[in-house]
Amino acid sequence: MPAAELAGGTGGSLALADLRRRLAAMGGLADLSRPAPPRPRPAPVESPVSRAGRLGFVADAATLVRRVKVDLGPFLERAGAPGPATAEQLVRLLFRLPAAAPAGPFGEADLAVLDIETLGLRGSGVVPFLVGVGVPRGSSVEIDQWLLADLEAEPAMLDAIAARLASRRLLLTYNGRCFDLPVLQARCILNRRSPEAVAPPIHCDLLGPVRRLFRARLGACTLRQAEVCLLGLERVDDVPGAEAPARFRAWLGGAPASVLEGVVRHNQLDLCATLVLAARVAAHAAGDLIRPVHPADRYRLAVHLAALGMEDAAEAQLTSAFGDRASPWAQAAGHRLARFRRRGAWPAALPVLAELWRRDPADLAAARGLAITLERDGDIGGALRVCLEAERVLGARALWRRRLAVVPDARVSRSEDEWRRRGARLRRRAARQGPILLTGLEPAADRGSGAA
Amino acid sequence: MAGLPAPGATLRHPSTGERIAELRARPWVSGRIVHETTIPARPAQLCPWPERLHPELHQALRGRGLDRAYSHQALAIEAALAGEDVTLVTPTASGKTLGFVLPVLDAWLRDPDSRALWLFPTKALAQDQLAGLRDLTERLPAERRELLRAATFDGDTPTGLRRAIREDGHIVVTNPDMLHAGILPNHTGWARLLRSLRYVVIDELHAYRGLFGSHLANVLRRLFRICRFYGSTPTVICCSATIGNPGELAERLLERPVRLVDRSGAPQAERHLWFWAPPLASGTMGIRRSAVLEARRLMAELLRLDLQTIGFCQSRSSVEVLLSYLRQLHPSGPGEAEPVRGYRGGYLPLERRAIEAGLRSGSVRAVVATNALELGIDIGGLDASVLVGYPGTLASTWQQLGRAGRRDAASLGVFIASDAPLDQFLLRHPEYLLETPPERGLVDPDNLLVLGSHLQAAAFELAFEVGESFGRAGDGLTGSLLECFAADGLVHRTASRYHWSADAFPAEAISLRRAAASNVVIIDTSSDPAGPGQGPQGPWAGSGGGRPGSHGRVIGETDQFSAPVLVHDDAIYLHEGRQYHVERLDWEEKRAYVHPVSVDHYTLAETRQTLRVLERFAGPVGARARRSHGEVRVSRLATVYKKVRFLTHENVGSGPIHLPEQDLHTTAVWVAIPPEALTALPPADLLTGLTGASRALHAAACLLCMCDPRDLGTHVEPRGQSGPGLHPGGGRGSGSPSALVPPPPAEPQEFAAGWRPEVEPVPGASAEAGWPALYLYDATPGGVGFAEGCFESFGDLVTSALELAAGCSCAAGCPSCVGPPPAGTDARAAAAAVLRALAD
Repeated sequence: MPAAELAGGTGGSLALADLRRRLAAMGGLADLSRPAPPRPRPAPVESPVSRAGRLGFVADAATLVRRVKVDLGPFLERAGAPGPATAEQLVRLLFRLPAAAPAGPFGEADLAVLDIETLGLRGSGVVPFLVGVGVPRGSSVEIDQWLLADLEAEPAMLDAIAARLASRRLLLTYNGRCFDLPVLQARCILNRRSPEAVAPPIHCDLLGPVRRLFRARLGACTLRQAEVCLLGLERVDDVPGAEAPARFRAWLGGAPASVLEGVVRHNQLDLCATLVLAARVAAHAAGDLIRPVHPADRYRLAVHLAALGMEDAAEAQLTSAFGDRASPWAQAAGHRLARFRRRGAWPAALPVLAELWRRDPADLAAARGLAITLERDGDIGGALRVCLEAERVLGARALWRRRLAVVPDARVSRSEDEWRRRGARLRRRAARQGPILLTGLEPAADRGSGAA
Repeated sequence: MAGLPAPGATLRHPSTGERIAELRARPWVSGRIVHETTIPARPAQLCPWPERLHPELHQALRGRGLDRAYSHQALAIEAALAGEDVTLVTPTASGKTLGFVLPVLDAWLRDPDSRALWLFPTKALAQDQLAGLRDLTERLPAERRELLRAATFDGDTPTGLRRAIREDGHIVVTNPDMLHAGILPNHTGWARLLRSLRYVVIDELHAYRGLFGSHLANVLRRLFRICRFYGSTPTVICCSATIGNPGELAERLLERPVRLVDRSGAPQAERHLWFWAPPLASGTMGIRRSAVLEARRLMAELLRLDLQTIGFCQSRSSVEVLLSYLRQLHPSGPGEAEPVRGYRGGYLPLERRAIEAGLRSGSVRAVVATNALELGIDIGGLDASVLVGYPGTLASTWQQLGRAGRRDAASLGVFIASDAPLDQFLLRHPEYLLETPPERGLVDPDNLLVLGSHLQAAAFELAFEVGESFGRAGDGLTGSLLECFAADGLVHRTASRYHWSADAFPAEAISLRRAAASNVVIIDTSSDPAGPGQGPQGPWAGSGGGRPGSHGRVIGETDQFSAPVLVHDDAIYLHEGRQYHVERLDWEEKRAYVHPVSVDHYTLAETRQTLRVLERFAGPVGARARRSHGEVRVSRLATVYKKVRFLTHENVGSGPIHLPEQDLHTTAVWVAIPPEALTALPPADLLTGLTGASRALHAAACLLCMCDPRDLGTHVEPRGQSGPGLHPGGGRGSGSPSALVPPPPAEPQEFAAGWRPEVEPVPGASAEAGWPALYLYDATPGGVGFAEGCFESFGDLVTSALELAAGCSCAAGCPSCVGPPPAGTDARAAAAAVLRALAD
């Protein structure tokens, strides 16, 4: 822009070069521009509408929209999902609805999926430049994508999105609770529109259940990670989301349609993947576990189902996790014990405690629970057997402490005292009962001791 | 507590006034007081609470026993209720808080949706205020009280609470940093508050001077801009301690007219003020007994007389020293609470709260503090305040002396002078302290760096209309900067607006406590990585500085211009009274690696400095000596450093410094003296005179501008910027001021191309070419208004400098006045001659 054009106004004229010179001389402003600033574009360029046309966008009022229909069938099949998730399945199996949520039943016409591409990541100044909204049609999805070809067209774009979402009662996103929806709502506020317009009454953010169910196997629960690990889908030639802002800036600067092609496809894939993931995770929650089954899956699923109030299904998964003896089985057992304790279901707790103790006689918490339960049930022989084993473990530990000259802390001393008292009591009771049989409970052979 | 005696009591405790008189009568005390004055008691000026206040507030005030208002409270409240912006300037503990609490509560009682934002310069102060608010709201009807949501919102606020505060907080108490980086960039989340924002309260207005104030002015520009968007027009209530120009400072910060209320109606009992000269320890050397030792004896005596006392020290370490002395003399009894406490930055918040409560209740009898207790923390009035050394500004002095003073009993303020030049000057000129109006708070909201960075943040928050002006920066400057950003790809210009289009979060890159983005970070490599405060925090967060590799703790930072002098290789860097040895200065990475040491010397870098005038904003004015104000470039090359032993100041070694020359682009005031005005001065003494005068001017300017001595720099030019190379500026563009253009040969290579303004030499435009000249420049890049302030008050500046030079008791110049003289010259006389030439 020639400096002459900048002159004028009441603040006096300042040539751009002079301003830059003075700023640089003072040490400069913080460098906020990312590497790869927009290259200067050779003029003349095509109009944004014409360039967007090459990507399939058509002008609709003041906005540019691209409508495609994608068949999700092959994706669903690859992911091992029995079919597309219904709205009813989602609210039943994956989400706990807020008390104020509208009552069901929910149908296909209620569901929409949303994903946005933005400039920047946080704050009110983040501009969504590509917004995709998908609505399911059987095993296909009908996707509308709005492109902000001109930053001035944002109000029109927001209106179009709001119109598209108007009849939908359920919005499905991936990480939309913290990102997509707040960004859109902030833009609504900035463009003097109601933020409610883009927020259907029920928001189902898939990140929540995915994190709850698969944290152990996914680590960072990104959508990409979930696609690869849970659905077995791998993207080819995907443009990473982090590149999107730079590409859009280039587009604003007049770059050809091809710079945005990958971004548009990325957005479209995100929408599809969110729907496929929802279908597969819902099936997982219904008991059709994602294969290969991770050791933690059943336990996590039980916790998830319990949180949704499906106690029986949760119990079944816990029992199964416990039966598998897979890695967090002790955790699963702990979970079950807590539930038994709450209900006062001591007889049900007994086999779990016995199993825990058999696995590891050095697990004194389990041994304590077992000894108490057995003693309460009148099985003095069994309780004494556990107690003798515990005394052996404590004795070995004390020996090591003496060797290492470690002073036991108060908790250890309390525990030792308690076992000592219990041992004495059990021996007295055993003596009163006459000869008893120290059978029925044997620590697992590989960990056992054969002591006493 | 020692109050007024009960009438008719036979065996009575002597009153505070009597005990002060008793102390005064002791020979060792009277021998040290070189000047004393008594500020007479002032009765309360009471009037009814404004009728317009909500009836429930009238009731609550009566419930608190506050039947009538002080005149200043009533005035301020009336104005605020009428929608006028107010600045309330009254002494410590005069009930300023009610001045803003009542209008805010009134608005809330009338419209439960209305909101208020309170700004305090520090987190600690913010938390204090809620206690004060609760005090009043407790008297409101219970069903009302429970609806009021008031909370602090700062870096310590738990995430879970933040949402609730955003949505439902009626009174949000925060600090400028949080407003800048937390609230404004996420303003859509704060829409409810911003839409119904009725009041903005800015307390401790005097804290917003210089750079911090320049930043705040821009943060407020952003706030008001966002408020306009949400359709709210909040009334602003500012509170300030006594400074020279509270109204002007408020108007500069708010950029709108402000109603000033500065006549206190609070009562004040008689106050005694003593100027205390420590006796000479050695007559010949002129060394005086340490002020801390004097404070120890005096405070011990005050404690013995049961006078609740506060002692203000100038450094954290002297706080600890004095504290341990007093504890030895006054140990706590068995099972008793400690009667003597310390108070400084670095104490934990809970500890501080306990000390404050102890002072209010009287269980703490003496406290030794830094200026951390000077700001508006409520500790009630004490009996005596002892200043160990001059706090640096008159405003601080009065603020600290004001900590002693009760409504109903006499109080005592003592200023114990240290050896420092200003202390000695004040001892000789008590009238300066007593009569001079306090310093002025100066800011420059249009400092290009500060303005530019906030403009980025503002563009992020809300797109700029083409032709919009950012505050009073002007649409021209705003537009030019936005075009600059557009060219860098940070904003995108459409037909009518500039939209933020970078994927950066600009507020994060701005620290309100500094100007330039690139500073040198000082890293202590010895520190335990698990220790407190590791990693870049506070002002360093997001600065890109931080840990080198796995360990090291950021202990501070310095601007790039000062770095070669302060943290060159092998320098001894002093920080918080500790010595650090600089192992290595990584100039490329802008990091200095240091480790603590204990040595008997410090280092002093020698520099070669040149200064070029780039543009003149104002002037030249003056009949003989001609002064101007404008933009300059100061180039400084650190050459060698000396190791100087403490106490004896002998030179124990030296070394070279190999670092690039540093440029500081800033604003300055300069004065050129016609040679004929200096005929009385022997030519050989010219440089000595100029240097001496610049030192005296510098000291006076620091007083005037209320700034740290490091915030201002000086430069002298015995032959002026003359010589054959000078092209007197003829102005460029339309109507811009004339510019002095540097001679082409001296131009550093990297600046040669494309930025020197093209000017036609105008013959005879600058008469002062070749005259000796003195410069005072802002040490902050771009300047924050100090130089401009000096330009405006240059007459006062010269008068004070002359007094400083003339009033010293030394023979020919000393570090306390114009600096030590070169052998065989009378530096004081030479400096005085130069200063007189300026005064003409």
